Amino acid sequence: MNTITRSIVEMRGVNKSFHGVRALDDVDFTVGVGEVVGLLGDNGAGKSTLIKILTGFLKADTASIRIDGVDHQFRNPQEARNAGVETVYQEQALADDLSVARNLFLGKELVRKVGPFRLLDDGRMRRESEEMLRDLRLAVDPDKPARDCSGGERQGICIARAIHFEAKLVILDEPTNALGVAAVKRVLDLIRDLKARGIAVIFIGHNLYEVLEVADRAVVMVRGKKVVDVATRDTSVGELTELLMQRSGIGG
Amino acid sequence: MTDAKMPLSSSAPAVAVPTSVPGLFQRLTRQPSLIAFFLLILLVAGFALATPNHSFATIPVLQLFQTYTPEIALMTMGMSVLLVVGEIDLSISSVYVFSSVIFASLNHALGLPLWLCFPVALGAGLLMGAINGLLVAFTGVSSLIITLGTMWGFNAVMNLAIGGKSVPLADANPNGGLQWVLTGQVLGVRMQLVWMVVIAVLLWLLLHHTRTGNRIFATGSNERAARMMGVSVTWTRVLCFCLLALLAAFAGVLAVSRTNVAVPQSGQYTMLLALAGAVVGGTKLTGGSGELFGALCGAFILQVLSLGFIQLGLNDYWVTLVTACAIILTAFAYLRIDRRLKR
Ligand SMILES: Nc1ncnc2c1ncn2[C@@H]1O[C@H](COP(=O)(O)OP(=O)(O)OP(=O)(O)O)[C@@H](O)[C@H]1O
Ligand SMILES: [Mg+2]
Repeated sequence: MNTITRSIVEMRGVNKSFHGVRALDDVDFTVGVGEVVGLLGDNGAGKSTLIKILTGFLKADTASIRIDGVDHQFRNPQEARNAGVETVYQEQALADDLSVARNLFLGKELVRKVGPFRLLDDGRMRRESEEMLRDLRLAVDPDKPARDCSGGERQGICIARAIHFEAKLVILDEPTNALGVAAVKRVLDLIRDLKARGIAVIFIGHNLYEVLEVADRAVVMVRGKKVVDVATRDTSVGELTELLMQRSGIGG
Repeated sequence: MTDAKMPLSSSAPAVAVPTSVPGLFQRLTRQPSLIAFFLLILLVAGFALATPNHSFATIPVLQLFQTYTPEIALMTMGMSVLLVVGEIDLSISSVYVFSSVIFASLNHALGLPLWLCFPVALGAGLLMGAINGLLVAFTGVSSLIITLGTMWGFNAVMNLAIGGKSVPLADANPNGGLQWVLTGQVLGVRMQLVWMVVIAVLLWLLLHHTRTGNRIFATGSNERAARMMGVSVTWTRVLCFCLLALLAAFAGVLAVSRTNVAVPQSGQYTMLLALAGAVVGGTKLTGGSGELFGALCGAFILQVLSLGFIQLGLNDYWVTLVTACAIILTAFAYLRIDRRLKR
């Protein structure tokens, strides 16, 4: 693999406190074009906070962020999505009262012109939803309310949504949560697929085997600080485990 | 892929819906507006049978509905949209009456032609809605409190500006010009009824067949999720406040057009009626779901109840009491049905 020269994301000096508690402490984080970065760390290490700042859902206290080489900070997730950043949030961003199809296209609804109006193209959204779900081997009726979906199905819907829209960066915050063994394998395959298509991926997870299987680089965070940033071929599950334990003050 | 048959979810086979429950009941309960509609039919039929000489089902009585109910119905529908987004507006009676007074005063005091007073009055309503929405969005204070404040605030401003006297239209002409367009009559059908239907259809299109509508439901259902998916929840909220206030202003103008006079003391109950109508129509106060058609039925149900019992010779206080019980009972019934479905 050749070294990555251009970055799609370049975050420098990111600081964030919640009510005086430091969640992120001067974090630098970069993602190269078409690179898969595994983001690791214990619960509460600041992983989700970091990516929410990236997508504009949260505002950093201080940060300098460059997207695709341009000084730019998304002010809200809308700007991020418009710029081709799709995210699976850990919280599963689904509106329970909406149908699965309407959720899949939430914020990017398909419309057609009918006279003076621009009306939702429910037919096309349903057809494309069926396709999106089928691609993920999900047996879910796009017309049923999201409320009625199982935990794994909900996670699948969020993933389907993130990979459907032409993105240049896909962020997956613990995407394998709630998934069965076969489904986890599907998701890892999908990440490889994205990479093959030149799309960069940030993959947050707790399972080191999963992360090392697909990531080019592993970044480890401990209590708001980045402590490791290493190419995955230069490390191992054992080494990373030891690092995580030591830095967290658990291990010897 | 080798695992072509593998579902993504480990628990993929959908849990079958118990088929013991009759399908009709299921479908009905998923559509509270249909329940409201049947309730309305039932009430009308009931009163028609119960009133002496079936006086309830006579033309003069039915005429009353198309004359008075559209004004309330516009507001129940607007309220229902606002409830979908998870907010409430207590100030609409003030918006209603302030707009009606502006409409009449511009004509009465400044001699502006009615067709000019009309957009100004609507604009004033829109402005009041925007004030409500922006205050809620940018202070973070709940809409219950904000609109409790603006309810009195708008009223005070109105009284400071024009005093408490009724304002008659200077160019009153109920059968011509703008007044005919608003509240005239064609082939026995009141224009306000026509407006109500047209607006109901437009609102339905907006709510169920546009991006904005989808985002209204999403915001009310799960604001965080909507925001994460790039929905501007602030703008969506403000829009709903504006929409309701605009409808309240329109209702206020209709009232003036119908009576040739704006009465600053009128309309105290419009807010309560709008809210009650929306609730009786199956809209929940928890956001994320709402029923335009139900809200429309709700407005009529409330009117049928009061007119019906009056026809039966019940005194006014009894009518109020019955209405009060009806509101609480229907809300309770919807809640039970809802629990039963989500169990
Ligand atoms: N909205 C918030 N308000 C207050 N504190 C917060 C908020 N969001 C996160 N935190 C705190 O910031 C720290 C980092 O949280 P974050 O969600 O980024 O952790 P994480 O690395 O994603 O953990 P996990 O692996 O459990 O998902 C935690 O201590 C958390 O309690
Ligand atoms: Mg997290």
